[in-house]
Amino acid sequence: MLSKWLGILGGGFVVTIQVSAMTLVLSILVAALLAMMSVSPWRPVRGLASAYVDTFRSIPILALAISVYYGLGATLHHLGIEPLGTAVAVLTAIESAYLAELYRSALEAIRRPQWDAASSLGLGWLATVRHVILPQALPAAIPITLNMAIAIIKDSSLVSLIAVSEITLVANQLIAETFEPTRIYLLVALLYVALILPLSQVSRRIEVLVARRLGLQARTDQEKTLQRLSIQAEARAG
Amino acid sequence: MDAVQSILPYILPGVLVTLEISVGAWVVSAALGLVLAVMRDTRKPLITLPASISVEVVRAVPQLVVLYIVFFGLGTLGINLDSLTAAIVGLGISDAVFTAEYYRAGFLTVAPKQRDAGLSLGLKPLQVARYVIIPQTIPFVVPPLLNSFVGLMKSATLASAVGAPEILYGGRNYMETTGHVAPAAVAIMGLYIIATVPLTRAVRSLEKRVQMRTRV
Repeated sequence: MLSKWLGILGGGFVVTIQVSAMTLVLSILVAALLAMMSVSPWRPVRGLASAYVDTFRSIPILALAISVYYGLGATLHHLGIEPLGTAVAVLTAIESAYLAELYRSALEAIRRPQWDAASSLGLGWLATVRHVILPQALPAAIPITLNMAIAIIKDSSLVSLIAVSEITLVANQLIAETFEPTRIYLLVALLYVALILPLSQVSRRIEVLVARRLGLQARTDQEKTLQRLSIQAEARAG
Repeated sequence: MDAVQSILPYILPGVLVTLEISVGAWVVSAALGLVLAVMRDTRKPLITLPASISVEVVRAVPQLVVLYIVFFGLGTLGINLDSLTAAIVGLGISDAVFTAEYYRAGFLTVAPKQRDAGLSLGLKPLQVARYVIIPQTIPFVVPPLLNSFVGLMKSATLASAVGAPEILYGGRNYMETTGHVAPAAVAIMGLYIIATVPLTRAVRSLEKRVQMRTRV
């Protein structure tokens, strides 16, 4: 019985991972663009980026998902876009706003004098970003992105409510047949833990490595914990 | 104008329920988080270990799954919670594991010497926490706790999944009965933007003030 359940739930978990992976890749692209916009020298461009980030960080994922699904579901279906595509689009719209804010803070950690130094060397904005800012910001972006991946995997359970057959929805269907909510939901929780716990361990290791490379090495356990917490607290979506 | 008038009866009662859920879950989270943090701070493996394990495990489980476990799972064990209570408890537990970490970070800002000093004055460990550590951590803990309230206001939409009549539940009812989606969508998301953008800004400036004060 348990192995049969695990087989069914495993099928849903594959969809969870698919949705999360697609959302993560798209969110990284959108967030990178938004973060670059937010350090642009042109005010309207900065304004646009911050308006996007403020708006989409305020909207609950589920509210956007239900609105899009109820409002455009039929149209999208005619266009051949399945709930999975809608789910990825909705999740990306919101998660990219959170990620952009985190990337922006990584960019802003690079001090103003570096921008001035670059421009006094005659580098343009794009060249400064490419050759001076990005090489320094990228290592910090790795643990940020990993923590975001964890948040996305967790948030992807919400799209069970717009008919995407990921693990939470599959579990609900299984429960409708078996009337065993406690055991099945605990099994679902266990699968999430099995995926996310190793990810968060890896992300913690990388955080320490990156901090060391950037010369921000934590000298005491206290500093280490504080560093980790500040990154995690920022990465909490939803 | 008609749309606005027809939508209010669906959304307005939901606003109150959303507030009830977020305030309730916030209280659960702040209290349970403090308990977990104090447990992890005791340095006694028998007490720290269960706290650490539950923090690590619950942190990996989506809020929606925690909510389902509380609402449907506990039901089969004979503990029947109504949807509103289940939402408060479920979202509160889910959030508490993060709150616990904020407290812990706050505790770390107090030098270990002070704990030793308290103990050497004959205070019990819990008294040291109550009179020495916790009062000093308040400025560090308030901004993240306020952030977690903003997060819970958004998470309250999950309660619609177990039938608690919050904003999104009302909005969905409107969408289903009238067939008009856009007015409800605009009303819900607009309300969230109006409520959370200023709050988030306020918390950010509070955070900056705490940082400046402590850096001096």
